[in-house]
Amino acid sequence: MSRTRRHLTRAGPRVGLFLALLLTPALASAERRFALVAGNDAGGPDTRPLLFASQDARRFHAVLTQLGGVAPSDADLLVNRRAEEFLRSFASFESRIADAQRHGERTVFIVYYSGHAKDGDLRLGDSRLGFSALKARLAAAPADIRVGIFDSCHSGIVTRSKGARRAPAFEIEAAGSQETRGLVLLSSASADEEAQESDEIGGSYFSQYLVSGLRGDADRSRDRRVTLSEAYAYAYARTVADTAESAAGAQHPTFSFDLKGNADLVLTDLTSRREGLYVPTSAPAGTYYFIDGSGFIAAEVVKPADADRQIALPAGRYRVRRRLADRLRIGEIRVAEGQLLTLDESRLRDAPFSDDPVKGGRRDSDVRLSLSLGATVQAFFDAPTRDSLFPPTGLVSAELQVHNFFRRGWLWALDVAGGSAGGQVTRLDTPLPFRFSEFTAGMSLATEWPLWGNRLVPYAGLRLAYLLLSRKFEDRTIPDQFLSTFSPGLVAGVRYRLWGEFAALARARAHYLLYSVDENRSLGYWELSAGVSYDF
Amino acid sequence: MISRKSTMKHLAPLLLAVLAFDACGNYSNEDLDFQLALPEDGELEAKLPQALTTDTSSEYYKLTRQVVTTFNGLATALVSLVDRVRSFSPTSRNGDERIWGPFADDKHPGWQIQVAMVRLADPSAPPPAFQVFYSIQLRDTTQSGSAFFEFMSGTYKSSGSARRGEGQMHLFVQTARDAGYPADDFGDLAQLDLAYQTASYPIDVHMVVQNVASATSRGADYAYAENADGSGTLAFDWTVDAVPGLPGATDVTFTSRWLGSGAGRADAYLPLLTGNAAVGTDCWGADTLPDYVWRWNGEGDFGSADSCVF
Repeated sequence: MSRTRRHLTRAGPRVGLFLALLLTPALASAERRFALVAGNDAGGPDTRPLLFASQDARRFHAVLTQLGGVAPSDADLLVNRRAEEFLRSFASFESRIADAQRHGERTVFIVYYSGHAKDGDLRLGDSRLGFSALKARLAAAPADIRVGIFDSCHSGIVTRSKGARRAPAFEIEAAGSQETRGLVLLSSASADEEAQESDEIGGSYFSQYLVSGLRGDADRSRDRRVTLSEAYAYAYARTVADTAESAAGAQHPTFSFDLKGNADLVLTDLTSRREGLYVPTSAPAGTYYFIDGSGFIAAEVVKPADADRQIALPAGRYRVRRRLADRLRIGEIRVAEGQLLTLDESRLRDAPFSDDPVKGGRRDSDVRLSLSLGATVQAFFDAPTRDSLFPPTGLVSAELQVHNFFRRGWLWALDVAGGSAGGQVTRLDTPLPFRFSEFTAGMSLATEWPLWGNRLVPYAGLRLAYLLLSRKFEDRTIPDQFLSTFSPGLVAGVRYRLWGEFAALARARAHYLLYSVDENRSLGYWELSAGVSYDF
Repeated sequence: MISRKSTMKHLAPLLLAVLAFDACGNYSNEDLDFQLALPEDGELEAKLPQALTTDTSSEYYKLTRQVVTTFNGLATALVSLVDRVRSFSPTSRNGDERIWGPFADDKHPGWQIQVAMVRLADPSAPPPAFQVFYSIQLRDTTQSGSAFFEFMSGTYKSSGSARRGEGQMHLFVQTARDAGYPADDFGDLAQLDLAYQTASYPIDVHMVVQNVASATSRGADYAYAENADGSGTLAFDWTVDAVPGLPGATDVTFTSRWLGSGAGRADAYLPLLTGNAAVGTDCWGADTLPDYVWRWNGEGDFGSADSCVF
């Protein structure tokens, strides 16, 4: 299934002109690069959450900071942040770029955004950022070269197929021409189209192929360098081809520019990083997928029949997959540190489609953590139990929630709680006061239903709790008592985002407890909790 | 990064283990009835008001103090046998029955110990009053087919309170000896019987000591009563082969009474072969010093009987 996005620019596929203007690569000297990378899965109340916008931003940020010419201190990654934070970061870059220029440095400023856009506004959660204003501000930024890349969407219906692919990291070296100055804008779709994302590739088509091309597969000139034009051409061709048959129709990336000078931007220099994979000319033609240990597609290579290909890959083990008409060719490789591994076709074997190693792969970047602290009230349903055995208790609780870990939309939570209460049991008219204490640790698995652009998230699921219940009697001649047991139950809750990464949390649980000390008795208890959570 | 596959792989056996897990613990209201039925340490002791005993203290006061010490030692020894039951969860619970053990007797290899308690309705009182029977049982595991026998037994009958009531305790040392149990720690003791009533004042504790036939002391009988105001009585009958200095005397009757302040009186009576009796009386104040002393032979007579609090 895919999800659609609305385009941001109406420049049209003027690829030829773009390529002509960015024809001649030039290496930079004394150049400093800055990057503001933002991704937001939410777009406000009238949009459905995106699946991969934050993922796209992380990929692009990783490319720039780990392998490109952007120092980590000169890059800012904003995931699911509001427009105010985006503008604050932008202003900070303007100041730093101006300082760099005062020191004689040539500067490049790259702004990337993946997320919803609607009615001329970028939608960062429930906040908006006018595209025209942003474009004007980017155009006026003090950098010698300003590059704006917008992979934007608002809503749509697409078809997503099983599996996912994770963009690999690879080397980028950018070199702006001494003479080239100005503004370049890339968008993922034309004005009357919707951008699309897919589970199959684990991101939006445009961002995925843009990043994949920058890794090396877009190096059509075979000079081991990927320029902006090469990357764009590659992303354009792959995006159009892969979306042509989709329900939303073909998607055509666009560009606009306002440049002085005639040098292209070199973004990748594969020679600077040796480890990777070499697919020799003798290898069969086709598309090779390299899947990492988690089942994600780390890289792909489209190999022609009469040419070789090389792609940068981090050291590690990979499974190789090449799809034929009637079967798969699969195998395993290991790329060692500093090694350029040559793919040996003889190490691949035939396999049925059912053995596709991509199946079961998931998206790391979807995984999100949140931590909540709160107060819980717990009581047993049965009155005699409540009155004399396990008194109603107040608990202080903490819960670590892992979102989308096992599956998108699933919540995996680990929680602990502790509390104490006074109680009394009466035996033969003899009151026996005691202090009841409880410690619980639980694990929940629930399904989430985000509403209003992730602002309101109800969820419901199952929970398994470990309970350690104990009581100390005021009459110290009576020994302490304890009960240790597991208890299955149901959980339902709702999370309401208050501001930034903070959210209010309300939760209800109902549990079953088999009490078997004196006799087997089926008991039940409920819990009501309220707290505050913080999303990391 | 933890992979989901790996996580699931580890979670699955964990969940299976959880499903197989049974609750454990001693969290029980019912157990309280059994635990409270057992007399606690100190509950059956005679409480003679504390006072500084000196060389000039009354002779019978000092004798009373010695008797109280002996009485309390026996009561504590008996109670401590069952008191440890409270520290452990029953090995098995079956309705109104609780079993602890059997456990190996670490001090006497080859022997097993088991404690059993049974709670029954009290036919003489309306519910929820109950009575509890308990026993400490021994078994010689070196003898094939040997069965548990009672080393100690007890009963408790509640009286409108889980903790207050009346009960009995019996320690069968000679029975254990006869079965081959090495009861060396119990000296000449053959059997100890104790009956008590703690439901209302005066609290009564009656203890009978039977020693083995070869012992110079054949036994003793203690009767203790304790009032709410701290006053009390301890009557002590002692049967011996001979009393030094009193030819033919074999029985000693000694009755001591005291107030909550500690002031008291004790009377001694030793029948003699002559048909007469050696009789004596001491009265003392809260400071334990004698206010009045009278002996049948006139030795050491002192003060006036009018000064006695009893």
